[in-house]
Amino acid sequence: MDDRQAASCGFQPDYQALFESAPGAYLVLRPDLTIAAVNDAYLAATLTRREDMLGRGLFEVFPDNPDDPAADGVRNLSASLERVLRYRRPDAMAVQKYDIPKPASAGGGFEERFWSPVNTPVLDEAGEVAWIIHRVEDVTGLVTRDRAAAEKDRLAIEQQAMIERLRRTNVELAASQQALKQSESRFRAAVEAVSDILWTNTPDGRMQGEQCGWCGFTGQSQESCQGYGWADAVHPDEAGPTVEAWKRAVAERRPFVFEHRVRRHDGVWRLFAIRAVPVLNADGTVEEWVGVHTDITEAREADNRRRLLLDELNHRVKNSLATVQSIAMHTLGSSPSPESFNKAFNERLLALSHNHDLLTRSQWVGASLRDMIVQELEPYQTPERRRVDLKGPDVQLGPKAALALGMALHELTTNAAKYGALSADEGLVEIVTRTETEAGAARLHLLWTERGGPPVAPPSRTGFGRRLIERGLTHELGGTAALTFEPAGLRCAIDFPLGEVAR
Amino acid sequence: MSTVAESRPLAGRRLLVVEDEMFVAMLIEDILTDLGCEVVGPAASVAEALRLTAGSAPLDGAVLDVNLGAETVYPVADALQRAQVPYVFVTGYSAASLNEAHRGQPLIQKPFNPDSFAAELAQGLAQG
Repeated sequence: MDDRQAASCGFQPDYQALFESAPGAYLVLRPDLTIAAVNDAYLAATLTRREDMLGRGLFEVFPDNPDDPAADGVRNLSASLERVLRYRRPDAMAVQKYDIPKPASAGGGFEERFWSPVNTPVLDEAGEVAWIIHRVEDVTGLVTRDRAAAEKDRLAIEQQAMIERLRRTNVELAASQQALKQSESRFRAAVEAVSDILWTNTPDGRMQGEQCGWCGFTGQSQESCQGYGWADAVHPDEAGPTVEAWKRAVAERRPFVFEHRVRRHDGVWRLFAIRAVPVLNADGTVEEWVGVHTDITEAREADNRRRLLLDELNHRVKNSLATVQSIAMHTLGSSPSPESFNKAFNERLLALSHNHDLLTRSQWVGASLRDMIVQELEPYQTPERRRVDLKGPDVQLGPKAALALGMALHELTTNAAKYGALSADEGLVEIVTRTETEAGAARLHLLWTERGGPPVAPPSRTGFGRRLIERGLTHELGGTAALTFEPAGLRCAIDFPLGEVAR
Repeated sequence: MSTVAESRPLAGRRLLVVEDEMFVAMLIEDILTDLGCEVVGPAASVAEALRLTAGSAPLDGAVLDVNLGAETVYPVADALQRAQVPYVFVTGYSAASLNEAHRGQPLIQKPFNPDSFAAELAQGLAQG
């Protein structure tokens, strides 16, 4: 070298200084891969000091980053150097990640670096590899720029995905809001449908905030129902006792059960059953009171009607028993033998029962006089002979009149069958009805006339039948009934106001 | 004489009967007649009963059916009360179903026990 330098221009360049200051990063290795020389650019790029490197093995100075399990710097570099030694040709490596140890002053550990290394052999005269020039270019900036760009792309994609997710979430949110709205309106509809009033009170038992159910029912404004203001819509007779009982329940934290009337917005009083309970927090304190007003107006009315019906039923049964008692006693008094008592008693009970049947058919509105006559006299009609002659208009009788007149007809028929027209083959009963209106009030005249029977003699004593007809009908119907015992046959003239019996 | 008076404690009394059921009215009438009473009525309505109550001859007592069809006998009871005439109710209803003002008044249940009717009536009229 000295010869060449001398030959060129007589000027002796300082090769060591030139090498050390060259702008590229160079390292000179011996064939055994110990470091022979290093320039300043290399030291700067690898954060090393010359004195720490010279004479030491390359991989001793630059081991793999122990924290990077994927580190392959040592393997790839030694393979490249191997190829250089074997083929004595330069070997350019692909961009290689090769982290460098950081000096303790910079915090220690490793710093991520990417390199573009080229290993070039320097041969001696014999053609053997004397030195290897290891030149590296730090491409970390390039690689990380790529990475930043990739990161940017990734972020953009992620952002897009996030926007998509947000959009979808919005749609779901809108749907669930719709569902919530639906379930809320369903709840409201249910609240309205059950006619129960739900309300809440503060822990100290005062009404507070929106009370849709209560305000909707009573027409009170939200302001006027606050505190104990709701009591203004409770019936004056029950408002005081309600507030008193309510305060006691709140003080004792016991379920509140009560009944009172509440004025509806249209002024109508409705009866309510009230039940309220405290809702407790985890620590046992009262969070709020929740109450329900249940409208029991109809239920209570139905209860009352049922009670009235039972009373009425009891009354009627007892009256019927008293009636049977009366019939039994009277029949007994006029019966010469147990057999005749049995017959007369049963016939009277059956007549009573049949008249009840007629009334039941009309749901106790009344019965037709013609139906009653036909029912009583039908058994005496024969295909050969008409025994009954019925003339005049039919009349609808109220229940009381129907029962009374029905029993009178039974007594008349029984008497006719035993002693009168119906006891003889030639006998005939004529019944003529006539209605007349006198001063706006309708009256019924009924004339019962028997013909063709055995001669009639006035009875020696007043029997039950006669009393029933003469006194009973007068009493029951407010009219008159007169029996006349004419020799040709019995006559019975009945006359009573229809207006009075139609009730 | 005293034994007759004891067995017929109500003999000679003028008693108003208010009962709208024909057969029951006849039964009460018969029982009272057998007891030697003079029966006024029987009346089947409040109007008729009030008319008989206001009649000239004074009443010694009254036997009142509570339920007279569409009306109740209470106005008659009140009129008798004012006239200081004792009365008993006869009814198929229970004592509890009498209205509040008349609850506690003597009451004879339908149907009747003929054996004890006279005693119940005499006791009731002594109270009422």
